[in-house]
Amino acid sequence: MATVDVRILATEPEILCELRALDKGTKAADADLKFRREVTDHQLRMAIEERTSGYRDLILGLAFSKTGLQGG
Amino acid sequence: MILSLASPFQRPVCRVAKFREAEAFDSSANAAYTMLPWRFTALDGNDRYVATNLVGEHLVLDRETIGKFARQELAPADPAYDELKARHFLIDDDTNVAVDLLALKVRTKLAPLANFTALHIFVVTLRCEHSCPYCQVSRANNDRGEFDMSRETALKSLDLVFRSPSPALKIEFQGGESLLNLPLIKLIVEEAKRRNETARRELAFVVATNLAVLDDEALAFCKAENILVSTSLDGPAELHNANRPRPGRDSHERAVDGIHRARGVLGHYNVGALMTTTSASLNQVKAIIDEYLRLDFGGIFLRPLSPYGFAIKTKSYAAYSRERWLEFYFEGLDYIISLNRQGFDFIEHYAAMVLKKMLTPLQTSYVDLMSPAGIGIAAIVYNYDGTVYASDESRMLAEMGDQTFALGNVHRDSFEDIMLGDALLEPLTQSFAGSVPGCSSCAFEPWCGADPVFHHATQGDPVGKKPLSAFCTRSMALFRGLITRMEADDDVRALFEKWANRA
Ligand code: SF4
Repeated sequence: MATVDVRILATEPEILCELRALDKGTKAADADLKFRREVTDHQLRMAIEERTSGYRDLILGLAFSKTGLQGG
Repeated sequence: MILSLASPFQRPVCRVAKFREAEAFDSSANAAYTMLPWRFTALDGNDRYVATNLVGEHLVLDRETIGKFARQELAPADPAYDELKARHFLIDDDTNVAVDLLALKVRTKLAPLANFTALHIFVVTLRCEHSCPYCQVSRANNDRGEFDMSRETALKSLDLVFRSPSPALKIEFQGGESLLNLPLIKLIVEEAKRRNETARRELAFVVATNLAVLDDEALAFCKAENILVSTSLDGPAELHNANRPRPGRDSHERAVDGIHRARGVLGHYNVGALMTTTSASLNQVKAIIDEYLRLDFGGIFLRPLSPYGFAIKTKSYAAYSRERWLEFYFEGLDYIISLNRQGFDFIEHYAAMVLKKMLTPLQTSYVDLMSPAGIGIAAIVYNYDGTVYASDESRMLAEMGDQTFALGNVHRDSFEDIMLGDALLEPLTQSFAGSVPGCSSCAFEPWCGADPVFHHATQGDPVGKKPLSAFCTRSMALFRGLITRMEADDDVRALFEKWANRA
């Protein structure tokens, strides 16, 4: 499923990534677009998770509450 | 190619000068009411919107009303005001119990989660005498015992079954063709009942079978042990036989004969049937429903094809688009509605499960429509070789070489290892709909599910991008389709309320 390989070359002062297409059919522009879309998506995931993880953990905690597996 | 990104994992900064501060949009200081958590989305092209509250109660409002409500400008004299108040979208000075009531509804809705795994699927054999091209698990020649679950694996699996705190435990036997390993089914039933003398759960058994090899011994056993039978029926003979090849090309004949014989012994309502939609089904939805009616079933589950196993290998999954399935589905649903108008008491089970979430304070145990996802929590699978999978779909994926949702093995791993392992907790946590882009702001989220296995299978990660998700497209269309039909016709609303309370 992965079509692009990403290597992080530097993290300071900017994050520098090297993208390599894994198949010949993937064009540089497509790889760039795909990667940027992925980064935006994950950025959004992290922002939402930060706001909602308390609620999520409470509900997951409820699901496991009678299993005897909590608190270990 | 080298690409430079400015801190990709920092939160976006939105303080652009041309936008006013958030407070400028907050008129709550002067408002007569406080909004409780709610979300909205467009219903159709007629400027109508669906608004849902925290527990999935909904209202359909026009654009102007929803705008006023959101800006906290809705006057108490507006007819929508009382409706919003009654359904816990707002509180005002008159209502100090509304928050407690809403909290109670939330608790009621979530309480069944704590029951943990109620459905335990035992894959007693992979052997099957059918060779259906869309079959989602590998088939094996039916005389090769290497694909049978062993006694030891069955007993170890039962150890895990009884670790589940659920007051109701359902053990379902699947295959391949489960009845090809009847001796093991007998052993499991006997042993589970013995253990239940002390465990004291509400214990139920289901045999999933194509009925082709159903004999009197199996029937007598099911009768004696109160076991339900679930079979496959894809529609009229020609379609069913094309979908389900077997030696003799008589799958339909055997299924129908088996249904009659099983009903005769076990009772009419102890025999259920499920259909699978293939590309050959798409132009025949009425004929499929008629076949279910002819055989006196009380309903049908119009299922889409899953993106797993042989369905992908044989390109059956790609054979029709999600849009084509939705056309098929709604043609079928409208036909069923028209049948009910004519006096037939006939239900569409997928709609009924969704309606239960929409119109009652209760949840369904349908794994696909759960968040947190139903994997492990609602259902778990013990494969013939002792591998434990998070769901039936997970083992189908594994048959294609993807072991992502293999949770462990009954011979090697404890209940703790299996239930607290990353293979289960990671997808459960990551895919929680209230915490992912798209779903967290979606008005349909209280009715929808997370389905990490589907998103992993189709997009390579358990969350997926919802705008690209066939699951999301299908769910949104389904929710909108059901609401539109209820809004257009009070008789349909009454029918849907009846289904919701029966599901
Ligand atoms: S999957 Fe789609 S329809 Fe379901 S909650 Fe998420 S965004 Fe809404």
